[in-house]
Amino acid sequence: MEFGWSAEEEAFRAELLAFADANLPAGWTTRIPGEEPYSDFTVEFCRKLGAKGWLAPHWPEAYGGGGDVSPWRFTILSEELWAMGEPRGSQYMNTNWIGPAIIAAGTEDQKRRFLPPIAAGEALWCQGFSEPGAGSDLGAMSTKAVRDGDDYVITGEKVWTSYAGKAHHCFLLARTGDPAGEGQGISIFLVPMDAPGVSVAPIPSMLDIHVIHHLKFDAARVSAANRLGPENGAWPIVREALVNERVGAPRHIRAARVLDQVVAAAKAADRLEDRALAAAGEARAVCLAARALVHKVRQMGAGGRDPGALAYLARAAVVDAERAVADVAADLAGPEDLTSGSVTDGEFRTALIAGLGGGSYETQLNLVARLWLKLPKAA
Amino acid sequence: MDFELDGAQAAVLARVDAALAQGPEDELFERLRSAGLAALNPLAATLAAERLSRAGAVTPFAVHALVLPLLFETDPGGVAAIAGTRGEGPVAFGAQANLLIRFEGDTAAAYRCDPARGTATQANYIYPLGRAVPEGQAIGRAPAAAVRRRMRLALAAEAVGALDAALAMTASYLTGREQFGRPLGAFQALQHRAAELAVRVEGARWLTRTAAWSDQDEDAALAAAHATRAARRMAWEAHQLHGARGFTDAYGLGRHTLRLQYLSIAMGGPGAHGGDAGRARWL
Repeated sequence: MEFGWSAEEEAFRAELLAFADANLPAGWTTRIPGEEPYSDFTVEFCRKLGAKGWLAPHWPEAYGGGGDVSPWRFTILSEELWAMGEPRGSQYMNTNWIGPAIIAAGTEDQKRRFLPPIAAGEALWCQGFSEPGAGSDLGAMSTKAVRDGDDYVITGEKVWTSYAGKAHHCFLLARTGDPAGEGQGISIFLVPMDAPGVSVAPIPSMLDIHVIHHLKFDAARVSAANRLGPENGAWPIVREALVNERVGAPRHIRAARVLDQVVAAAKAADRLEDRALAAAGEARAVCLAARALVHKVRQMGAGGRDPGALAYLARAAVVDAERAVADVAADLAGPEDLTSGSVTDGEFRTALIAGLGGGSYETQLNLVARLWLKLPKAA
Repeated sequence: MDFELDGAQAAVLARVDAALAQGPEDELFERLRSAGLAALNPLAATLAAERLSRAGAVTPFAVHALVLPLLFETDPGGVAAIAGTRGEGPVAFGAQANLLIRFEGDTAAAYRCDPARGTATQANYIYPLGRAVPEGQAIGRAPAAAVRRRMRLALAAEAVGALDAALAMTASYLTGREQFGRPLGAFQALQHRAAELAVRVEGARWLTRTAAWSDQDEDAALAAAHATRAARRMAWEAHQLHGARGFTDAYGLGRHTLRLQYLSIAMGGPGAHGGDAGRARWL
């Protein structure tokens, strides 16, 4: 047991920071991750990262990855880029879990078609899970995919979808069978967003820093070659994908930097009282505890292994970190911090998202209770 | 970065387990000492202290393994107590101590003391609390900040052990105890509370271990802040989830929750540790 970065890892971090410094526009780092999912800048930045092999260092080389056995280079990339406002835009999601799901469950044809563009920074994806009538209870979804020759015909709606505005593909869950049958009758489809019958509309919201969308599938036709995994076999693939998604966004790292900023501002304004300083110290502890847990999960999950229930526990800790920092930021705030785009304003809104994105906080707690504490299944 | 025990760390924990299994608790500390466990690096000492507390052991081991090496090149023997981190008052092992460490400005100084002159305090927080009377000239000194840092590691490690034990008892109780025709643990309201405790216990565990590895003042204060915040929450929740059975000596939950309450008072609560961490980072 030791918790240091190797000289090689430190050198990589320094190289990455120098690269970011040379390539980020002034003021970029004040953005909230996800705020600018596919601007000209983020798309170009991803192409540059892809050219350096820095989008998917943890993937097999055969599919455009770097072949890393160790999880730490990808961890350093995730931490530093997320903390500087996530200049990968929406593409962090592609290498975190969409690609790994295709690596784990895809056909050779699917791997060749979908993975190299992701690793090169040429692909934009979104995720179609939640529906108007099925949120945490994903098994209740009603979007249907009906087999018709070599195709499936998809009809239904998805909501709260991030990054859909310019996405090329959707990682979509749809019903192909009986809810009471095998795998609750749910399958995964990699759906081209330009297929006839697919439409996208933004949903007006209070989030400001993040756009959520409404997706409609009106008899959209998708080739059976785009079904990921077996028919009615979505759950094992989704379970692994969600583990990766839950620890994929190092929100706690950015939260810790927001904490540094709001404490520095309060100190400069001479309103940093002892009690607030103590609360800030405690919030930093919450952030670093989350970081240690996420690092442990990263090591346990390296090389496509299942990190188990600790992933859900770590995600709950990450949510705690965002909320602890948002509370301290609010305690230290003055009236000027109510202005749209202030650090405190953004932290509040992104902390609200943290408790729901990637599965609700309560879903994580259910899984911790069942799988970590071995409590009986809830009645 | 590696979260798995290495061979040396696993061997330390095996020696701790052997010492725990070997005989009466009043001789445990001497067994640990003769097994060479007083001379460990901070991370190994922290792992050992966590394991001992998890088993419910009451021993001055953590202070000896983490703090005394700062003041003495070789083990001075006997039992040490540390006074005055929060003003004067009874401290753990004060009445048994033949060595007392006191804070004098920026320095921590060690004095001999005669256990025959120590006075025990009437208290019920698992550790024997009392006062020691220092004698003569200081026989060892170290920077006060370093002593506080190692005390915080010791405190956080013992808190993690007790947190872990209290949570395991709670999960076991929720699984076995049936009310309204089903196990308590099948009620989602209780599942979520237990799961939130687990998040805090594991967070405190790994923050404490990483702090022991870095051995930096700010990190130790952060670990102590997180562990004592978890301790406060655990005391309420573990007892609440157990019902009145948790109060009984026969059941034994109090062995862990009383320790947690002591640990969240001894050097100040989470706010005190958080404040020191904040001062170290931002002022």
